[in-house]
Amino acid sequence: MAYIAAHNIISPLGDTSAATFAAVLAGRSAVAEYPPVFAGGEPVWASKLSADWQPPTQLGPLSEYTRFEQLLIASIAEATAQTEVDLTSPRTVLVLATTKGNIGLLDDEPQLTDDLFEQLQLTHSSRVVAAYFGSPAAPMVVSNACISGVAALLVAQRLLASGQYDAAVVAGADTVSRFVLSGFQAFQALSAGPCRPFSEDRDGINLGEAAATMVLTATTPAAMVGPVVRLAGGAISNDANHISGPSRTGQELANAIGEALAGAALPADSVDFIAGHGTATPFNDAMEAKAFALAGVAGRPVSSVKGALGHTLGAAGLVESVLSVLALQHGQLLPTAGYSQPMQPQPLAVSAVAAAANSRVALKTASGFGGCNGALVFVRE
Amino acid sequence: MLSAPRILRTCSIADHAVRVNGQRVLAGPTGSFPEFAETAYRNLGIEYPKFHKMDNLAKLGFLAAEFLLTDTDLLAGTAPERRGIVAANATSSLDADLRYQAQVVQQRPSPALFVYTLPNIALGEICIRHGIKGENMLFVAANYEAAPQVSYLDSLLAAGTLTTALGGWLDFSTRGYRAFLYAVGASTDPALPAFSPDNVQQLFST
Repeated sequence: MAYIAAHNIISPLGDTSAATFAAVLAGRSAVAEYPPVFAGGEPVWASKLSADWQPPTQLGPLSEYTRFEQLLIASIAEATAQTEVDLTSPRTVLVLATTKGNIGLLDDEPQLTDDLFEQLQLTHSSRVVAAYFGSPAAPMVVSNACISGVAALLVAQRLLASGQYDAAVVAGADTVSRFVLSGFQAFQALSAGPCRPFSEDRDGINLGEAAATMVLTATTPAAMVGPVVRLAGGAISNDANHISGPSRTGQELANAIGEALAGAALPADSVDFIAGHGTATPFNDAMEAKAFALAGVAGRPVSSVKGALGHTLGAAGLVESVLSVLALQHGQLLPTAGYSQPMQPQPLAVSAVAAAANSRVALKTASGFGGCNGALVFVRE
Repeated sequence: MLSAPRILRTCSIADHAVRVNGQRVLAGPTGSFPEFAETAYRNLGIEYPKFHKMDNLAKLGFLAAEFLLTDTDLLAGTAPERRGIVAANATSSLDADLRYQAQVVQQRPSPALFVYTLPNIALGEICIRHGIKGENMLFVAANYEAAPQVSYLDSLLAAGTLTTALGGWLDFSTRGYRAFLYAVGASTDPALPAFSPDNVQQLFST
């Protein structure tokens, strides 16, 4: 069992999960227009942190850390400060999720020096972040494309269930870089404007940057504010079909949903809402609709926050899990910024605007390059 | 699980040589990794055109899985949903990252290369080839440590989440490469090594 003891989100909409949650509920979006990746190209729509963003001064001087590392440190510090969980204890494990870590350094560095080569290693970032907090054990780093955040939470839950640790601090981050923007643009996967998840006229994603942290404990946390929520089940699957296109049938994401619900000992009809992946690409959202139907949850309210915060890659699963936990605690359905009209031929019950709802069970799903899918089940006690 | 999991078979690729269960089955030419990979691919006698589109890390993983599983029925009795792969590496997808960055500098980024700038794509290629539809997880760690991986896979096998799994290490950078994959599952054959951290670490090191 894993209980959610604390959490944080650092996004363009706020430096705490409460601030980001309030902004998301209010229907705000951080997606804005930015200059083209290459001169003469199309402008890019993305959700970016202010260039002036700085970690809180009480964390001490962090100028020797990269922006990606600063984001992780600030997010972990804010989350752990709310709890008695001790990162210096050998009974606490640090699990990090990212797709590209410090890759943004390549945007400005024409020469690959030995120092830069070292900084580009995800193990470099994990080592310096662990050292900042005095974490004695080597942190675990999960890099599973766009399901990294969901996967890291599941890894943490399993580590707690195995009895190896009493607490897990799970954090994820990714930044928006020319490297990543150019790649999604080359894939013709970027939306020409603000993205429209689960909508008939969706045309691609907005990338985003954020960091998020969730602190999990093996027993009911003492300092918990509000209703207790636990991570009750989870599963990972693979399409075994294509490295850059989703399953044609959605069966494999449906399998992950089924396994996650079975792990939580809950039937499909117990799901009160789905925090979907909802990247707003034509193929992904259609695949999710098929998967939800196969898993027996198609009629449940579904939302995507990609229109508010963009696709934050390795952080996305954590950001969206934190928002799901808050939605359970505050009796709310998350809205879907950018939603226009139902997608055909398989429309979903999209939660377009925030609404009050007495929810107990939340399903969080994610899918990514490499054919991976992940599903988590959160339960309010 | 009916019986304790055992290490069913191993494959190691290093220094342009392929070893299966510790026995050298192929020593490739001296030269670049792509040249060696091409030789190893031809040695397998398979038709898999997608291989030629893969980046170095994916080729390395594909070859290791192919030599591990070729002419065996290790996965045959396991439903795709109960097959899994859990691997680790040190340098993530840095080799593809740097090649892709060179395209970005030229303002000619290719989606075919960009997709390989994620380390789990190598696992995705193995999943496609071998019908692995269960757990697939890529950890990044400075060195290969068998203990956390064995513990992780052990819990998945004990819970019945997986029946037969691949595990190991797949690392490729301009500074060197190493593949080590094993298949693990229930077996009553006492000649096979038990699935323990010590056994896996020793097999990695030899």
